[in-house]
Amino acid sequence: MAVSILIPTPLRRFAGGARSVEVEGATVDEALAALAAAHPELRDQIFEEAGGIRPFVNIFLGGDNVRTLLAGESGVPVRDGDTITLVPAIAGGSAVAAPDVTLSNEEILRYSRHLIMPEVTLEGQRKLKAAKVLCIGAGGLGSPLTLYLAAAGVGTLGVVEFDTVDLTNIQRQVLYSTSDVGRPKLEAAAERLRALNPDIAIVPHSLRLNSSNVIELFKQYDIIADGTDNFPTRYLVNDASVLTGKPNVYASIFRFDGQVSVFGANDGPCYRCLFPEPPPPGLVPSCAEGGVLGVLPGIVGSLQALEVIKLILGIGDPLIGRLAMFDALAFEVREVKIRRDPSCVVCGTNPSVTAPIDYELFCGIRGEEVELDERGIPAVSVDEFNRRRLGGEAFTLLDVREVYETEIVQIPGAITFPLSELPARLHELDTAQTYTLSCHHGTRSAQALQAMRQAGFGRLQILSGGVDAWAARIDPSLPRY
Amino acid sequence: MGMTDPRSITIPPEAEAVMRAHAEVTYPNEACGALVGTGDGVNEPWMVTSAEPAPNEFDGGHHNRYLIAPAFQVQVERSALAAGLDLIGFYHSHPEEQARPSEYDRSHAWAGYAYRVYSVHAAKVVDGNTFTLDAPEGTFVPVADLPASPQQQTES
Repeated sequence: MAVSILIPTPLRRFAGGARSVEVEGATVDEALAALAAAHPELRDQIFEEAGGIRPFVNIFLGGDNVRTLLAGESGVPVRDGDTITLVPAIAGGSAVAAPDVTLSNEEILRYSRHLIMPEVTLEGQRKLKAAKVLCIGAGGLGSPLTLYLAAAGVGTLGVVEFDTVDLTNIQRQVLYSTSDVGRPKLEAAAERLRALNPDIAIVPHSLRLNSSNVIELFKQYDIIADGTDNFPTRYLVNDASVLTGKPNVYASIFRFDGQVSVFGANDGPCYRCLFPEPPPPGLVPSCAEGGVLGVLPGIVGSLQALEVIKLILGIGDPLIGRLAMFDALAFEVREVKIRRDPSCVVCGTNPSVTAPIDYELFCGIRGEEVELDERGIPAVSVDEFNRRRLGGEAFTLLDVREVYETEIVQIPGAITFPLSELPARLHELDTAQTYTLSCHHGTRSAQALQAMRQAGFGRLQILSGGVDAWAARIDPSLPRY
Repeated sequence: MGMTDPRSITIPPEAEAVMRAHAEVTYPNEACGALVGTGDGVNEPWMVTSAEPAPNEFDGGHHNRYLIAPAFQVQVERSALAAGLDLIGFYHSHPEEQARPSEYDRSHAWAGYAYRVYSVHAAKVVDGNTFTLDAPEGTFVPVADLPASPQQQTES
């Protein structure tokens, strides 16, 4: 039988440039053997030494892939005039764009247990070396996190910490030795991590993370790993991660329970989608108050390191949109799905938080400046407010009553900002500014305060008793209704 | 006009638009497809006549891998040959990565094809470059993108 074999572009130079070669044969095998005989250079491109078809080459007879049928007992018969096509397999993908880093022979030996896994390989190890990870906190979670990331060969490891090693830390913070007690944590941690892996860069950041330094710092890294133990920093890290577009690998622990998730990555949700606002101060005790089983941060911080490494390598299913919860006593791992909230104030479709806010105020930590009323809401009495007003203190008083009410009576200088219009008009306000909210008696102003707090406003208080208290106590000439 | 570098490629705006749109709608996954045209990048520069989007047949995550079904290649190659053209290369996108071949791309590449790579950030193509595998070295080398201007301009 006379058949024609189509030669694809990359193989033509082995066939004298021919697009198509006419051969004789009764089967596909015979036709290919005839082709190899006519063009010996082509033989090596199509056949393995043992005689089989090379991987990454498919053989089509007409429209059918006959690769797996070849070299059978009877062969694949051809008819006169059939067309056989050689098809080079085409695959690829960014899967770790090859970073411009190389590994020394010593590094190849050091990471050999990674390199021999097809999911990692030399390419993945180079990706690890090219990666820049910022760990927030070098405590219970930060210990296993930084140790494993350093051991794994993450090329640039930033650590943010400003505390000193305390004897009560040693029970779980395995980065430190008893002899480190009293030393700055950052100094002891950098020494330990450099001893563990001298081939990587340990970048100590001896600072307290705040709204003014967080953005510039995050911009220098690829991935943020949050191992903090307080809410102001957790919200700060979350918001700054979203604002800078860096994935935030989050972990937290309490007593016998741990949580891990990946926020702000690949269109996934952020921490605020899950918890729009912090719990009231004092409700959730810290490790110092509630205690923690020493091994728990070891497990949870290791899970955090695992998620960081998966993100770098681009393998497996990262915990994006999933919160893993580990109960050490029951030995249970539960998982809840988290959806991205379109109304999220940071990562939603119309975000109101476009720069870091004052997180201590947001979390109600800095209570000394603000009086709380019996409902736990920051409030100022009409007498105190009037005293400050007369003393020349600048204020922005938002009257959240409806327009038809403010026409009846209004405190001098108040801006009408009805509660019903608040959600749509929040963009007119500045999250960093202080606002005093007022209404008729103090109920709607409290609702407005909660809504504004969720939207990222930190400096808020209500005017106790509202315009009615003002009319009763400050200016009795005003009407009451 | 001097000699054109044979290691160059000319992509008409229509084909470029097809590839960019494909890369953007497929984001955050990788888009892939074939380049049909003339030339071999050695003796004669590549001239693209059309880009043919392909389904991504990779059995797994599509955000950083692609695979073109051989049956698709056969179909494209045969219709190209029938029109006096060739299957001259392939394109694919790198979501949130640079417009240069990865190590994985390199290890799966064939010398003789033109490989066009697009960088897509936030569903927008921000960069596109063409490469070919240098056979003796086994490394990717850049292919010059030539403007798709008419061959002969008439003076008025």
